Amino acid sequence: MPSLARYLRHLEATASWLRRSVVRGRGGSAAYFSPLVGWSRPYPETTGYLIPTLLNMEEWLPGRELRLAAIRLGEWLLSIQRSEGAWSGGLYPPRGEGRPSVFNTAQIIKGVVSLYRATGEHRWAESAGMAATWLAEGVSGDGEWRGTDYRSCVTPSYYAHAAWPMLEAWDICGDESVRQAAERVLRMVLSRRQEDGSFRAWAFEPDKPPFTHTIAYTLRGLLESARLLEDWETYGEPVVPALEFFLRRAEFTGGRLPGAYRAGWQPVRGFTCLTGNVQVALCLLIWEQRVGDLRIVNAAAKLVDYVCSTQWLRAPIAGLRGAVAGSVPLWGPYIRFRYPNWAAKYHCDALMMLIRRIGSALER
Amino acid sequence: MRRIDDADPAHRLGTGEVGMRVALTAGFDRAPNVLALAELLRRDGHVIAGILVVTPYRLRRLRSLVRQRGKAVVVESVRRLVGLRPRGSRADPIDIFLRRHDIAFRSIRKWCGAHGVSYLTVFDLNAPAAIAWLGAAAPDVVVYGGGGILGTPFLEAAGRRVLNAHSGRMPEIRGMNACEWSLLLGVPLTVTIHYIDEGIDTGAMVERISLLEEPGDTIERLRGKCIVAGIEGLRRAVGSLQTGTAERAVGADSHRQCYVMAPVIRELLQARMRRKASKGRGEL
Repeated sequence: MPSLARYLRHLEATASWLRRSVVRGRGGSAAYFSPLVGWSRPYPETTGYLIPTLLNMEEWLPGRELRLAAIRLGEWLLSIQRSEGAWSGGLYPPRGEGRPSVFNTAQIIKGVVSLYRATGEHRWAESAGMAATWLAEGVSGDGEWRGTDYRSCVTPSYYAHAAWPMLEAWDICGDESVRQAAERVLRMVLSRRQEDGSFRAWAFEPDKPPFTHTIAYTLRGLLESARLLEDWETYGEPVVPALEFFLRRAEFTGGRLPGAYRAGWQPVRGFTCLTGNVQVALCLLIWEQRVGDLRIVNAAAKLVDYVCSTQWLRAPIAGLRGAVAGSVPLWGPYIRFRYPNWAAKYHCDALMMLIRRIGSALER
Repeated sequence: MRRIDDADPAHRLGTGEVGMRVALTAGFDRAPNVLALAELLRRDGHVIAGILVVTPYRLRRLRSLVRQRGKAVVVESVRRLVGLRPRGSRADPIDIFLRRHDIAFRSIRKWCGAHGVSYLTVFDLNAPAAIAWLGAAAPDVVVYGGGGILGTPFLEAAGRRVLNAHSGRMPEIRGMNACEWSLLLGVPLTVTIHYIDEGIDTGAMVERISLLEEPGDTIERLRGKCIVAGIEGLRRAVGSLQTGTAERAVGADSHRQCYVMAPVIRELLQARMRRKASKGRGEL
């Protein structure tokens, strides 16, 4: 099937770009490549959630030592974990002493948990447990982080994507207080769900429209929590109207979603947030695992196809070859003029999930 | 399916002695389904009140098509516009049907000219000019043969009597590439004759026609079979309106809509069909 071969070619090129981000990452994975200033400093947050992607890719791209790269990234993360269990926000090294970050710590947990699952070594579980305990201790009775996060006011709804890794840590460590804290966060997020399926406060900034990136963070956080808690009714079902919306939008736009949405699903036109595009594709594919409807896969494929169409696989500059831009056009407001490692990470995740799904449908 | 009640305007139409006034729509001038319908309805004694043809020569339409179906649509569209059938369809059921009924015309414009039938090209069926034309034509029923989604003003101007042949089993299969989705989702291949309402293939059904998949059938051939079954079904539906025997079933809006297949999904279907053909048995 030509499309599957094409997907594999894109997966290979994007994986190679991620490997370059690790080589240039000074221990971690460089946050982004900029055609103007080159590779950035490493980003602990996205280095963390890049680890499960590298581990998964080992199966698809053997002989590239992706597993070894994942372990080395994990070791680097352990070396910079703070004594209280958290990780600092922003790029590394931080300016000054750095401040512990709730969201970034949660994303890194995904990396160490996946390393524990892959190797069985307890150092990863210990690291995840410490981080999750620190996160849980900061959650208030009404499910928000106050005082422990760089955001002193409202905890954004996309922090559902922080509750999910807490549940991953609970899954391997069994600390009930972590599970309870994560559920409080999820309930807080669900309380912000609106009639049209959108959520209040799911943007980076309270007064700005959310990028599809943070929208998908919110949806994915709830979907994965539903899986871990085995409670679709409470955590998965409320996400379905938003997924139905994105399914239709993916079809109507030929896979090129507007990059952000105002209240009432009003699109902010003029750019596409490529990370959000493939993150939404992943959410659709996760939902499809439950309902088993190839029409959903169809929409996800269009979202992935569009991102593939923006990649330059034969670029003469290594930092551009196989990279995924923040925005299309490149000067769009999301990660302007840069190629972030998390866009490449989600693109690889979506490609692998799509190839696997088509493969299983072929066997049927 | 339920009987049309007496309040339904469709039920009161026609006496069985005088033909219906039928208007048709088409997505382009060489649409073979519309040519066949116009000619056969005329032969059945109905009056063709006119044909509305959407001109394909519009950048916006082309852009929207490319966005929906990819760049390959341009090549296929050009082939269709010049009257060529899609690739790999030598034994095209539509061509066979046209030959069987001695329908030699290949242009709706020429057919209208030959039979003194009003012909109007528009950019959009919902344009005021199209709706005014429809009002003046005063058809008893409109037979939809393509041209895009119909809005409320068009449906109102047509007295909500717009018949369509949908190449999928309603209510399960709604939307685009219905024949392909039926095959992929394992829904029996069916053409549904129905009234168009504001939803996408949600209107009241008149008839469901089952089709058989035969050895050697390709996707294109099955699509052609669906179109032929749709022509015959629409012809029957107009006839049954005239005799007052048409029935309507409730519509459908609870099933997920189908859209144009992404390349990888189309290839999946093709792979399954190849496998099925090689095995020569079983379901997809």
